[in-house]
Amino acid sequence: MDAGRPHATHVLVRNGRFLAVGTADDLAGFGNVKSDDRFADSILMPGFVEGHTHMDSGNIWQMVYTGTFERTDPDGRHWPGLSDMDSVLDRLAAHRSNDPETVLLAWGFDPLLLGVSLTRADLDKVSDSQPIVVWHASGHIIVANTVAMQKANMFPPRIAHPGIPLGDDGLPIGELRGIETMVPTAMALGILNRFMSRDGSGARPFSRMCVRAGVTTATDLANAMTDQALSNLLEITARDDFPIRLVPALMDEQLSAEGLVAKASLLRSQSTEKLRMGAIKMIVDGSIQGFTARLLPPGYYNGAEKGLWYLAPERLGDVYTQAMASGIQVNTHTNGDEATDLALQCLQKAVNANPPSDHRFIFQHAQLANPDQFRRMKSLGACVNLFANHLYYWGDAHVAHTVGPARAALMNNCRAALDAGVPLAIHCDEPVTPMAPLFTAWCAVNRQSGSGKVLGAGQRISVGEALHAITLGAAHTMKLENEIGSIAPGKFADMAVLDSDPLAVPPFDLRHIKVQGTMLGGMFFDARTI
Amino acid sequence: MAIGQMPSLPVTVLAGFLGAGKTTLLNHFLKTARGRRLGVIVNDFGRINIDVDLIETANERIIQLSGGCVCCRMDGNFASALMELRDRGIKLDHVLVEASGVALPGPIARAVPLIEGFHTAMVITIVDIETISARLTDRFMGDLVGSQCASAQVIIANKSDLIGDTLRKLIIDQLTQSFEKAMILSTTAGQVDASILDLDIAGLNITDTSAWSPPISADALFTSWIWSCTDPIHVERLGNALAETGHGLLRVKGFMQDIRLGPVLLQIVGRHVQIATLNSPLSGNGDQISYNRLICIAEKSVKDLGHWAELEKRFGLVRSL
Ligand SMILES: [Zn+2]
Ligand SMILES: [Zn+2]
Repeated sequence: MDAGRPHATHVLVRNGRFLAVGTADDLAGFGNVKSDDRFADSILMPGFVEGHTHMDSGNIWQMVYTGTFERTDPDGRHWPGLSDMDSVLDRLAAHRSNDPETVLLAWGFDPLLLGVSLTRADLDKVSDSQPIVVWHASGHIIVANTVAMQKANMFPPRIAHPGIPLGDDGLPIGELRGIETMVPTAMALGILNRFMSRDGSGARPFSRMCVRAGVTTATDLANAMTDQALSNLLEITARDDFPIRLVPALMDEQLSAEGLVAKASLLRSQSTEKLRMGAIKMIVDGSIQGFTARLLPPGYYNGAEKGLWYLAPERLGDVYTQAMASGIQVNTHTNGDEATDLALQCLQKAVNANPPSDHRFIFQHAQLANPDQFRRMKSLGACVNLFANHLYYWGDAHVAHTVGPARAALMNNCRAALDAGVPLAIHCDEPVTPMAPLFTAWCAVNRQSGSGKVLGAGQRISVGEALHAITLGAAHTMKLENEIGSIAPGKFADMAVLDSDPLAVPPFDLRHIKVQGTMLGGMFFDARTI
Repeated sequence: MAIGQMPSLPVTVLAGFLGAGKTTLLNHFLKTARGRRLGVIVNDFGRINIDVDLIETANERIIQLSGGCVCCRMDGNFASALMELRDRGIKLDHVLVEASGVALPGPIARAVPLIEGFHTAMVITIVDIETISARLTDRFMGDLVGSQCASAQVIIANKSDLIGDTLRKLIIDQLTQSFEKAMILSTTAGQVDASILDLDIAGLNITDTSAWSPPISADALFTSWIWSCTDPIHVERLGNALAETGHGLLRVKGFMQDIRLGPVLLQIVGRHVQIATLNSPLSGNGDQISYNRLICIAEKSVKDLGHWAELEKRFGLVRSL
């Protein structure tokens, strides 16, 4: 997959790195080598590089999955997607214990895709003795049964609160909307720490998911990097049987810009071959499907409010300017086009304030970025990591509710990004959507929604371009192109082992290619036994 | 203080965009607490510059100050910090929550009563008088800053010494018109006295600024005291007398024994008088309520105690503080 040598039959590996690649003859000059023909019938690709995932998704599976799409957990168990309310309730019932002391927690429920909302009354049918809490896929709403609401003192509500909607009977329907009602509920039920852990314990289950997806380098794109997390991660990633290179990005809202950049620099100096630290993560706005992303006019298709800012431009500007001066890379989550505009404006100021540098700040998601914004990214030296999976998982919801058909056809516009010359990666945001780079490539190539609607055929990219985006392209955005992303002498011997050639199958079949495992630094990890 | 005997602890949400002066204001509140045991929930201790001599005990999340004040660092969500303050049994009179610069104080204020043992006293939004007009019309942040002001019961226009009188008056007028239900104060360096916290007005649904006549515009402008009396009185008459203009009273609040109605809650904001009868002792805490103690808050310039002497004669009140 090196541009000058797109195909090869043999690779030579020494001390965890590629020594040579080519034909058997090309390699003969290295003398006595041990040959390994385990992969004679497989296709070896550079290990996939996932530029936007969350390691804590390894822990999310301690909750019951209730989403619309099929998913596979870290143990390799398949969870079929649930397409109606009865099957959601059946699955919950299968996991209930009726023990009033343990809360039954579920995640991934998506009313936007299911077309119905889940209520307290529904959950009471599952259990009237065990507390049940179901987390919406958007992350911004939970639904509780009566026992859970009573236990959390939210039933009947002590005051009228817009985040606790009432039904016709004047009683809460069971939804707790927004962080300000979710957190007190979760705390009262003692489940807050079960939603997300910050100690690095998700790394192991997460890495197993990576192997099944062919991923050898993955980001953890928002990590507070506490001392405990750092020491745990250093210890876990150093083990030979830990199958990925992990790239955490530091996020800490409590730190000043100076403090943040100083901490990132310190972390960078502690990096190892399998734990690459030093990047920063900033979040500018919310999510499109949660109607909290900041959109330029005409705003949301269904008339929802303008969305939320999660940071002040001054803060973003300070972090940009100081990070750039210290050679620290910044990942910026923007979803709405207004948020992207703001980040571009801040980036312009930082570029003006610093001597020219190869900073490669990354716009993460930037789902509604338009061609003009891509051109500005290019001229400012930025990269983009587009959320191609959204086209499939929320494409229909975007057409019907969030931005309407015209703008949905221009979302995650990989074509425009490449045409503008912006270095491109594409991502899944696991656990938001399942990690599977070949599927992500399929999304960018076919642009098809869950219901089979094509969203903007003109914005498609080729299979070759998509494969580049999940390997060397992503590595370039992460400034790791000298070490990973292609099969080239000197780079780490990281590969994805596939059952068929993505360049040989019809583009629509990309998603059906099976990952047999990965190789990290020359060591094989079998997807069937990981 | 009367507030300490209320059935739930008042929480004030302090909002304001970056650089408006939230930190200075917080420090000034701590400095002027004068016996009020304040709990302060901040994003970060570093920025509030606590005088080390005042620190009695400290751990990673909580610093206890010698004046009885407590600072709690919020990790993630203010709700967990509030619960921590409550569960540690620290005795407090008022809690201040410092919202982040881009936070909408409205949702925070609405969430406070969801946490057992607290109610929302008010939202105070501090703005930089030099930049507020530009902030409100900013292409990106205008609606956010507008919403911060619109949720506020009190807007503090800070740094008012940096601009001329005419401009200051113009901006204050604009704020008054745009945010009708808020009391607008102007100050030079966040010098608003902690007695403003005794206002405790969020629950009152003030709909227009006439509650706040006469207009208020001075530094360190609050003074508060408690009145008490021993016998039941005619609360409505007292309320009307107190609400007459000219006293400079901003806020009166307290539980009274009415000669006709029995136990009532009397609340006065400017010229609005509200008397609520209490049918049952408040949520089992009735025994903690001291009746016939009125907390009064006024502009500092109020010196004419002749009014009060007169009222005392009429209603038999005894000034105690
Ligand atoms: Zn994101
Ligand atoms: Zn993410």
